[in-house]
Amino acid sequence: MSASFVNFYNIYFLHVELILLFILTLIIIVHFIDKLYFKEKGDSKNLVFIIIILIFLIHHLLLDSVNSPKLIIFFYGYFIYSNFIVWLKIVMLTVLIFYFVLLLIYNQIIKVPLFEYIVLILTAFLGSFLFMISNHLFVMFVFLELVNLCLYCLIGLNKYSNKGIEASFKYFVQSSLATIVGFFGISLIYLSMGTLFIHELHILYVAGAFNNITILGLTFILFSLFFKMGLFPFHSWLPEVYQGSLLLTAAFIAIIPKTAYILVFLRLIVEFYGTLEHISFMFAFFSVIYGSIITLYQTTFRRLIAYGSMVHLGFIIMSISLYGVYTIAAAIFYLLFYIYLTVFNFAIMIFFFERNYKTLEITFIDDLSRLSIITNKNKLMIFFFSFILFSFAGLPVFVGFISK
Amino acid sequence: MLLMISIISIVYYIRLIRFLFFTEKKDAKVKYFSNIEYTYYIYYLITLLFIINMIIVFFHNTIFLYILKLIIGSFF
Repeated sequence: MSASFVNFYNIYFLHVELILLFILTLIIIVHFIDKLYFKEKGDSKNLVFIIIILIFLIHHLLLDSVNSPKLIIFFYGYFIYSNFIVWLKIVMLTVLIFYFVLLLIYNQIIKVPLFEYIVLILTAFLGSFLFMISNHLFVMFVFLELVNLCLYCLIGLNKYSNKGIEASFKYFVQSSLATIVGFFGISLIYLSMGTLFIHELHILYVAGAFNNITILGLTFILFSLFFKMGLFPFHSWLPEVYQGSLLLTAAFIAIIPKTAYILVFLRLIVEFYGTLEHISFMFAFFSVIYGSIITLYQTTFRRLIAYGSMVHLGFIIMSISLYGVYTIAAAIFYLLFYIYLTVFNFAIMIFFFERNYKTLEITFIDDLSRLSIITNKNKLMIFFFSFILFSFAGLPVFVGFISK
Repeated sequence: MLLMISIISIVYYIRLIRFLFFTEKKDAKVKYFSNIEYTYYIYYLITLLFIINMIIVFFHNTIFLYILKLIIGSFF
């Protein structure tokens, strides 16, 4: 990989993250001023405010990406910056805008604690961005934990079901274990190589300085990443979290952090080609097989979507593991379609809510056998939903076919 | 092998489509539940997403080449 250094003190390339941090701080300050002096809730206003600023951010990024250099390392070597990362950030920010629109619609059906929700989502988003651009393994895992801490809270925010707390606790325990494994891998790499900067490790790898302990450390880091992605056999938290959390929390977990994980996985594969592809290909392959078979036995819709996401990630990881320009481009292309279809899917899933006549309680139609109830509601939606399913399946004419 | 995993991975979506069009408990939908009135924004959003889909279908080659160029520039 060709990389060039710029001024070590330069933080210009962190502008998006700094603006996000500024927005986050502003929301918190405005909220507390509202609470203390005006006794009002300005959450919806804040939300619209965020959406508008994010649109400007995307515009700024688009303009910036035209003249950005090939790949640069900056800020004491801790972060990287490239055209591809800028493009991926634009995709993620676009998803975030759709996500906030969905959140506004969702909030009209089921009330969520908006302030907490927005702050946690934005913090997790910021963590994902910083995780993506990290060039130091330790810093990378610190930001990974920032994302995960927000996710534990987000999953537990489901006050309509006890399953949320249960899923949050399960995810917390298992994810902590995975992080420990990752840190153990990092310590093994530091023990054998004496550095944690990825570009320095790449130079050492090319020079043939890697030994078995280093490769073992890299494998542990890979396991930790696979756990966070939810690949087989580290997937036990995935269906629980999809089922227990709020609908939009599941949507967030399905898209934003996973995109960041895939980018980091891609970097590890490219930098240390020849060490990790075989093992990652095996895990991805078994994820596709296991996910496909186990999904056939599911009776609830959300668990089915969870296993479905496992299969799609398996395809992406498998394609990246083959290591070629064309296969990696195909994997990113597949990732783009996966993101788009997941957003579309969760937008349609808002129609799956129903209100009880007697108790006026709103519930989510999760049972597959009662899925046809939505046909009674809206014939147009059934067309869109079947369209999404055909796309996910990858039948010809639909978008999923192009990516496959 | 690729053909086999492709076939395996689409079967469950086809199964889901069966559930979408045919109901097993026909009385459940009329007995207990009423519909929720949704805001028009959701319809606008879904229409927008569908239009994006059409754009992707027609320009998928351009998008793929753009990704290829980005990857070559950034990682190789």
